[in-house]
Amino acid sequence: MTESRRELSDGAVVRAVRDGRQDAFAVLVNRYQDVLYRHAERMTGRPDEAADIVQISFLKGYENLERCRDPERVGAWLFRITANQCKDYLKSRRRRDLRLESAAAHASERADPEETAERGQMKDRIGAALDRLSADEREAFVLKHIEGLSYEEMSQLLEASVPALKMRVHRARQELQALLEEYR
Amino acid sequence: MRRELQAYLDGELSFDELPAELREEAERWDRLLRDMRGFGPAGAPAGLEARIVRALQPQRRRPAWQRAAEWAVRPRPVRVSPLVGLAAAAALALIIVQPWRQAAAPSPVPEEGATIYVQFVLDAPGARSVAVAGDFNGWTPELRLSDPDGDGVWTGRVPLGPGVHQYMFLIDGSQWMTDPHAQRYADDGFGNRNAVLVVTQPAAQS
Repeated sequence: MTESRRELSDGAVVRAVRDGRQDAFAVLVNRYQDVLYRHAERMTGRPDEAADIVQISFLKGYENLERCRDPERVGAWLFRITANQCKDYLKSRRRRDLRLESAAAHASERADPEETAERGQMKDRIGAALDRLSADEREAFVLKHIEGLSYEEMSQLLEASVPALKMRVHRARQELQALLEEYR
Repeated sequence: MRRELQAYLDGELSFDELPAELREEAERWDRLLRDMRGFGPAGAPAGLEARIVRALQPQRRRPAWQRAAEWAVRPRPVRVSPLVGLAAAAALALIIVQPWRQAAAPSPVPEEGATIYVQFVLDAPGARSVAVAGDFNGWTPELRLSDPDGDGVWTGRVPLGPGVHQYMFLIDGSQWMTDPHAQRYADDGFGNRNAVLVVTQPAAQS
């Protein structure tokens, strides 16, 4: 990425793409791939699926860029596309009943040679517990407690009310309470 | 879970304000959440950016008309009530009969195309400008409505072809608004609602 590109605001990049400079979209990929990928992996628990979701989300964003109503906030718009993709994925995964697979089935995807066996097991238990949450509860919990957003920020991002989001997070915590036994 | 603990985890209560019997559980939640944050990835894996940019190459943004054409020819299941089915069959019969009628009695006036002028109306007192954007113009808000008498009712005639169209109003160049009096609405897939307009060919003149 060139220095001049880095200085462009999101709105200027969107306008450049709309005006036919299609390669400018790569600037948005560079800017937002990390935040979108982190969210997708935390929602799916699977690196390969998360990467696919991020790719699909960028392609959808590129294809529908005219529909981005506030080019200066294209990052939030791309995040919403990714968040919806993640929830669709989780719902279809649930329909396929893949959540009943043991966490070990995906342990190889998460395997990190630096990780101790004990830490790896805890990570798998957390992943399995998150898999039991509904897509909406998981999304709210991940945004609140893992990505550190305030309820007001979540409300703007997801276009849901603060009380509704609080309810989802509270329910998620109730579901995850069993994990606390591991921290005695 | 106790309400005070939920309030602590929501950031509405400090640790010191928690009842003593809840503090041990609060500490366990803190450790669990810290671990959860630590388990997450630092960022996108190496190579993802290049992979996405490569995938974008053949995706060159197709013009709106081409995407609309693809949408129109893509097969999809359609549920139709018997009444609507009968009406559609009658409309089809009219279209089939129409070329024969024209051949038999050519009209002296120039033949009009399939374009129909649709009047858009939006009650937006205080607005400085109102435009309409939709799939019929690539979602570019260039079709401006006018309010010549300043009563806050903005109107404009737009030529549209027969079919199902989605549209939105853009107020003052920045605020998108769904038509509150639309015939129908459709989720745009991005968390918003578009207004839906069905344009049909007017009945043939005799």
